[in-house]
Amino acid sequence: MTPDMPHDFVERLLTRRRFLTRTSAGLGLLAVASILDPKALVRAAPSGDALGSPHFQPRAKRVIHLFMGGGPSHVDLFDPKPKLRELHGEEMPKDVLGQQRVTLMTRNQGHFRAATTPYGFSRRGASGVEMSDLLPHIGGIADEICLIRSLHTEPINHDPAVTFMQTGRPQPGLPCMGSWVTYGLGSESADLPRFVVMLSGPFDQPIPSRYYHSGFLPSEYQGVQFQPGGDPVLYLGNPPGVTKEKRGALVADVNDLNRMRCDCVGDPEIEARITSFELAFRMQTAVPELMDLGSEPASVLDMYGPDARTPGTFAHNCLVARRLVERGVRFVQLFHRGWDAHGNIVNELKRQTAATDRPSAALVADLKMRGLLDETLVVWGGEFGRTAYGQGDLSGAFGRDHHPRCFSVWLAGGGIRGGVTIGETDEFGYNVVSDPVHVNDLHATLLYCLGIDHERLTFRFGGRDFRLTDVAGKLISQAT
Amino acid sequence: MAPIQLLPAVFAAILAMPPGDARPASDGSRVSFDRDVRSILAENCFACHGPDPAARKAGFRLDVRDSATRPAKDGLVPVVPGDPGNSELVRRIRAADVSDRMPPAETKKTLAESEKALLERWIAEGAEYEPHWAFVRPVRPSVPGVSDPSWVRNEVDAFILARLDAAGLKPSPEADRATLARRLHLDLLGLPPSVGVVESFESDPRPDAYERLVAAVLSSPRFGEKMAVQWMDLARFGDTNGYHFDSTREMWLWRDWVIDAFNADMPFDRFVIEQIAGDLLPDPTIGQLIASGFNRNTRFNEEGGADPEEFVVTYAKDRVNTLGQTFLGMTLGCAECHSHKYDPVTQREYYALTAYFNSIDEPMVSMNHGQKLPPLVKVPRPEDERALADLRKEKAALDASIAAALAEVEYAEPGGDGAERDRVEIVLFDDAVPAGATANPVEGENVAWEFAGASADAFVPASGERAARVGGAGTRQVSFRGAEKKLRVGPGDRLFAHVCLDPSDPPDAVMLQFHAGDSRGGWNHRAFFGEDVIAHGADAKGTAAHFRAGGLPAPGRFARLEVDAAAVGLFPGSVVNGLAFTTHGGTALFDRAGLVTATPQSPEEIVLVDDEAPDGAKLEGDSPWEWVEAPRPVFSGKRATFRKGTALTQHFFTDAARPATIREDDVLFAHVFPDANDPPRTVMLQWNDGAWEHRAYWGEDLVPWGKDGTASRRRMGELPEPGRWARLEVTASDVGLAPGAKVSGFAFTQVGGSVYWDRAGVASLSAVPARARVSLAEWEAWAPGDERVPADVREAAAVPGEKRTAEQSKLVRDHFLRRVFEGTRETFDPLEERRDSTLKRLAEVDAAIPTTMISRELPERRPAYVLERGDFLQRGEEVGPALPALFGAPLSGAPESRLGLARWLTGDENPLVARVLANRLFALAFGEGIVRSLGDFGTQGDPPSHGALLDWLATELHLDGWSVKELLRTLVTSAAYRQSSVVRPGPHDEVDPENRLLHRARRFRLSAEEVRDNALAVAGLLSEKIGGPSVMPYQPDDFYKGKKEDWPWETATGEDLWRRGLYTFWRRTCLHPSFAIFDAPSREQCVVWRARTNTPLQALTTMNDPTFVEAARVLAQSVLTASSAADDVGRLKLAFRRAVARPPSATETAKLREILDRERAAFAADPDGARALASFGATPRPETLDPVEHAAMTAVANVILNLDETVTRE
Repeated sequence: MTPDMPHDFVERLLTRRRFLTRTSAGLGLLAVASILDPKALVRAAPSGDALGSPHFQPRAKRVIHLFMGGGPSHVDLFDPKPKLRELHGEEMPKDVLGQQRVTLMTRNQGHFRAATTPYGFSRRGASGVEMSDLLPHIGGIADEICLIRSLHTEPINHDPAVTFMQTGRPQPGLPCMGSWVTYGLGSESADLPRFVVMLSGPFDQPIPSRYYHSGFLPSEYQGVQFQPGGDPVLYLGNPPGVTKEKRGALVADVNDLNRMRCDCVGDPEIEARITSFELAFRMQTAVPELMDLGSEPASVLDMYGPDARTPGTFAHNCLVARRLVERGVRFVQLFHRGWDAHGNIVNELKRQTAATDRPSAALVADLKMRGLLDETLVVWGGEFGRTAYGQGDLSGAFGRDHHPRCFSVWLAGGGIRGGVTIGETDEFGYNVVSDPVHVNDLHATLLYCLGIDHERLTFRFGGRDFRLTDVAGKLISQAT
Repeated sequence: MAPIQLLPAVFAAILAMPPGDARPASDGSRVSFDRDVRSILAENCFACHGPDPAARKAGFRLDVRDSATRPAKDGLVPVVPGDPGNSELVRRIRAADVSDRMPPAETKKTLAESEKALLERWIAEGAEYEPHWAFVRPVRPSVPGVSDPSWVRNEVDAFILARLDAAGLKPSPEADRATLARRLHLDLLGLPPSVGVVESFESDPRPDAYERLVAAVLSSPRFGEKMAVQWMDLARFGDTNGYHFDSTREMWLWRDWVIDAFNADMPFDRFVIEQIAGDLLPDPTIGQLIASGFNRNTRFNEEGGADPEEFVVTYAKDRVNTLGQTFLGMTLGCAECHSHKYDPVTQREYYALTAYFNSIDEPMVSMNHGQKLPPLVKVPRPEDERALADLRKEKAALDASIAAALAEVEYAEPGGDGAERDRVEIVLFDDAVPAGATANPVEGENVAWEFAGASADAFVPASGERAARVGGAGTRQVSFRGAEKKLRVGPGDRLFAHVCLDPSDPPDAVMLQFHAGDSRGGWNHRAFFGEDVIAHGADAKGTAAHFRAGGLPAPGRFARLEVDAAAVGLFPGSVVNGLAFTTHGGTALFDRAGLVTATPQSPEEIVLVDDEAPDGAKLEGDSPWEWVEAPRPVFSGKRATFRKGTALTQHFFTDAARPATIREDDVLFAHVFPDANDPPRTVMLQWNDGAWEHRAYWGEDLVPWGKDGTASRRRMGELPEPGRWARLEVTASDVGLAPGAKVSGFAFTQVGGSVYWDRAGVASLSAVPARARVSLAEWEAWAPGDERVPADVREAAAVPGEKRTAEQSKLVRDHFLRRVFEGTRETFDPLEERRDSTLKRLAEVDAAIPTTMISRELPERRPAYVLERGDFLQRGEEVGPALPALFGAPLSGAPESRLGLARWLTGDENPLVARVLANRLFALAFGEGIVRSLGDFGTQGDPPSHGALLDWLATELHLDGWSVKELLRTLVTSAAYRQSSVVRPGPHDEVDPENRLLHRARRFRLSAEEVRDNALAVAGLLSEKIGGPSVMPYQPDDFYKGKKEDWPWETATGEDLWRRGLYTFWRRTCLHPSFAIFDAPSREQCVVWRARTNTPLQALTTMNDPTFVEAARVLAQSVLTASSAADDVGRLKLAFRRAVARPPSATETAKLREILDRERAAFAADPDGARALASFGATPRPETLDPVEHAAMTAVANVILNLDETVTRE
């Protein structure tokens, strides 16, 4: 793929509006409606708009993706391997390792010694799925979740692997899943962005805005990052001396003058600008209201844990995520970094699970309590797993290297079957042995839950119809 | 039939035709493959029956006549010319059975009836093929006749009016002069015209008033800036490296070169050649080298785990993709993984193109984040040249003074009876593993430390009461390292140990190994005795790591083993802190080991503070340094410093002219006297080696800096006993000062109390001892091990005296006299100090000279390969540089280098480059290209709306010496350009809903940079400075929070806050938010076109971004103080005109007055709010202005700057 002219989509559609005979039918038209009139977002929501109905009966209306940046270790968290305990410190069998490409970090290490997790695993929930004792809270929702142990990806370095998980291909420049989904479905919120991103965790991996960019899709489909400090949305706050009421009056002034101009020049783009200003003004009220957790009862805050009151933490972001989907935001993505445990898996995992276990489980439970879980798909996982062999000296604080050949993610809500485990890895947790699930399959399933046929949500760019699942992807049928 | 009477269904049919400029096929003329058929086949058929052999089904392709008209695999002929009935293609597209029908159902593509009919007609008419229009060299077309020649101002208009005529449309009337002036300025300069310019144009009665305005605009230096922005998108210019770390890079000289080139109207062919291959031109100028940085604009990955091989390929691919998009208008990148499915470019041809670019010399993977990435060219500014010349002159004068002083010195070696008499034995090991040491620290052939005593084992130890026993099969050893006691090795020293071989089990060999710290080779100091059977260091036989020192002594009694320290690589300045005793194939007892030395074993003190701060030091503190003398407490010399405080307080220095270089095992020290009557709670020492991240404290943990328990805040113990002097000591490595660190700053910190401080510095076992500073002969022995001595002097000193050349002897002697000898310090110190500081300034000036990355070929070409699925690990066939076959046979003197490639691009035969440029310039002037897909002229690209016009413009470039300015002049002086953009009632929007025929001018939003620049220009804030390093205007404070917080963003001051947007620092992974929100690309890769979206985030930006708020405030004060406006209406009109050029209508004026009156009343009731808004930002405000008036006008200005029209080119 190379970049090409992003077709000047909006501009064309605005003029096409009065000439629909030329426009082919398709999901893109939902997107059109959302540009022309944010209120139409609500009208054009997944079911029943004449312009384009979903391909299937949607189960989920919204997605919360808890992205665990850096690559959480599946063999320490979700995929117990007694064999590693047995062979701890011994060279991994050659036939298990195969002809793999490893990073420069362990390529020169000279040994690939099996390394057991220092943590215990227990059976959880009615399904009896085994999970690490580091995850007592996620264990507590075991019957709500579908655990995939056989996910695999292609790239071995972070940047391309995250890009792959976000966009279905490792090269930069393609739209991310949140952009595809909101392009296809618009939003149910007239006052908030359609696709919201929040970051947390230690600063070990940069999260460039490219990860939540709309690529060649129009840029209004890119994720809006809520900032952990200052205005949650950039430039949301009025300058000193301009009160909310004054801003309301000034926006009305701008729009009055714009209407006068529109009467003279007849350009429908001006109507769109008027709508943008109205939405911007509504956001100035809606976003602070959203971010104000004062109305949350202490019991709810406590459920998410002590960090929930601190902006910028994963727990806080989880609670905000719930409030976002409650208000109709289509796609929420939380990036939590710090899983790249090359050096000290024991301590780093403790730190990571301490920050994420409880809030992740609380989010699912909270959604369920409110009756939102059925229509909200929650996805939890990183860009790849970690090696079954240790990086560094196993007698010391060893770590694990990147491992794209298998890793674990879990899904919950939004039409996903709970208490299910999909796929199996070998006794080292190194290769998939049954029911492999590719990243493109995960994307196909995510779209399916939203009522979208992944082969039919396309965008013409550079002479080719692109889609989130590139040229692959199949539904994980056991999951739904 | 008049078009106005067409039924909607018919309009649709006409518009479904490719809008080529010839009349569509429906009027009865022949079907054209290129115009009518190819796009249908490309869209529906080529994916399986096209250029890519890997994807081809049924063994035939439809893009080549030979294949389409021959029997396919199944024996049936897809296309039988003249006979649609027998053509399998026709049968399949008409098939009733879905499983038989083409295109197959799973492609989800269907052919319209009109498309099927066209294909049939084409076959019936003979199925003639034509090459794709864009791959054929443009031929200058004749200018068509039109309905209204009086409308035609130049050829552009004839082509445009001919198409409007055919569609039955009329062009729009000419726009008014204010609109024209603003349009022209925004299109060509990216800035609005001043009210003065608009007014004088409006009142200019000359018939060529407009042409004069065009000429003025084209000669403005702002033109180059506007053009550069587009070129920077194409050339993927950024101020950072992109990828993971996204460090800063210095590349702005290239950007300035582009601005200058456009301003000078450099012919575009030269512009291309110099950028792709400026370095390969004969005797390239600095400018041509700078231009060649075009290729280096590629992102650069600094990630440690990345594979260098991968990035050779990645960078070359990026360059090919850029070549395709920027010059050829082709999506070559599609052929990276497989042959192109639509255009005739094979995967092999793609990789042959990478071979032009994969031998550019550049670093591959670096972890030196932020380092420059050579090759570079340095371009001194005039002020740099002047400073360098001055400093060089200064240095020459000092060199002359030093040489003269040297000639005066008479040095005589001090007498004395040699050092030998003073040698003493220093014991490191006897009877036990020494205190502080780790026993057997390394995994290996260890045996446990076991001590045999005289009584039980029937032997007499060499010393003390017992000896260590080592033995067993193969190699066995005991070891320790990190002893508290350390051996300080001096010149001529010898190491020794005692050994007694077991007579009943004598080993074949024993080895002594010495540990000297990691930076001095660790364990690589070994002497063995007996056979060469011990493997340690055996890959470096004969060196200090594996030195044979002699044979084995007789078994049964202790013998003394000795070895020259130098023979095992322990030169003067080395410090030994560990030993290993090793045996092979037997057992031995080891006893009493150490060093015979004439060197004092106490460390040398390098004093930084004692009675004086060091030379050059900048003294700072919460209050000035306070020196006190006896009778108050003084530890050494005449005076100490004193500090009293109630909370955290300190004094410190930085920038010592001669920093202390840290060596392994060095100890930092200072002396402290806490007042017994007023003791502090904490004392802390801090050291600066460029950063204050090295701290040690005694007492309570009260200082918040750093992180406790780490090198940034290390607790050393209790507060020293008050009322007496204590020596504070910290091992340098404990506070993170590694060998080589240069300590040039020292802080004395306390919490509360009264404290005296004295004599502080570094105690070093490695440093040259005092007596070497009075004896050249002694110093020569130390010099080779002293890393502060310049390498050439050390090398010369290492040569034994009698073997040195005269030159070497002089080098050693001169250095000794200039830098070391105590007798000449008074003479040389002041000179050397001045010379050092001159050299430092020279280095600083030199380092500050701007650089930019350039292209350079490796001496030997790297091989390029076809890569399966684009994967760098899956190499296929090797390929050399070559052009795709679609461009015909290689020219004579085939272009095998970048220079050849560049010459071919700009040569007469190239079908694409001139068209692609003409199209881009057309888009600049008309808002959209003739070919709408600016980067795709291939078969899947949008067909041209005015193909003949495009060819006319392309040939115009050829005829006019590739002048960009002249082509733009032609475009903007046309009548088509001057049309109004107002939507007219009537059929125009029904017949031509996308305005592809240009029945009016287009109205579109300004680009990200223009939105900013326009607001600043309207306010009168915009800086006119051209070029220079990129700047950092306002950006939200927390913008990097949670992303990568160590990215620098130091908000600019003064003029740099108000530079044009193209000078804003372009961080590729995290673009300035106000630009990203307005669709500016990250420039991680080539971008040919920016979207023009319209979002609420944009509204928030223009309402609240401090840049826009300050612009509104300054616009307000500017109209309030303008002499040309006397009252509210006059001021409102002036503000409005500055924003949109035209005067407001009566209703608009009324509305503006209403806003002003309302805000005036509101702010009168809120004077604090008024003052806050009226003084927002960095620009001074005239204090004579009433804040209420100012704030009210600011609110109106904010409205004006937020109008749709203000951010729109009309």
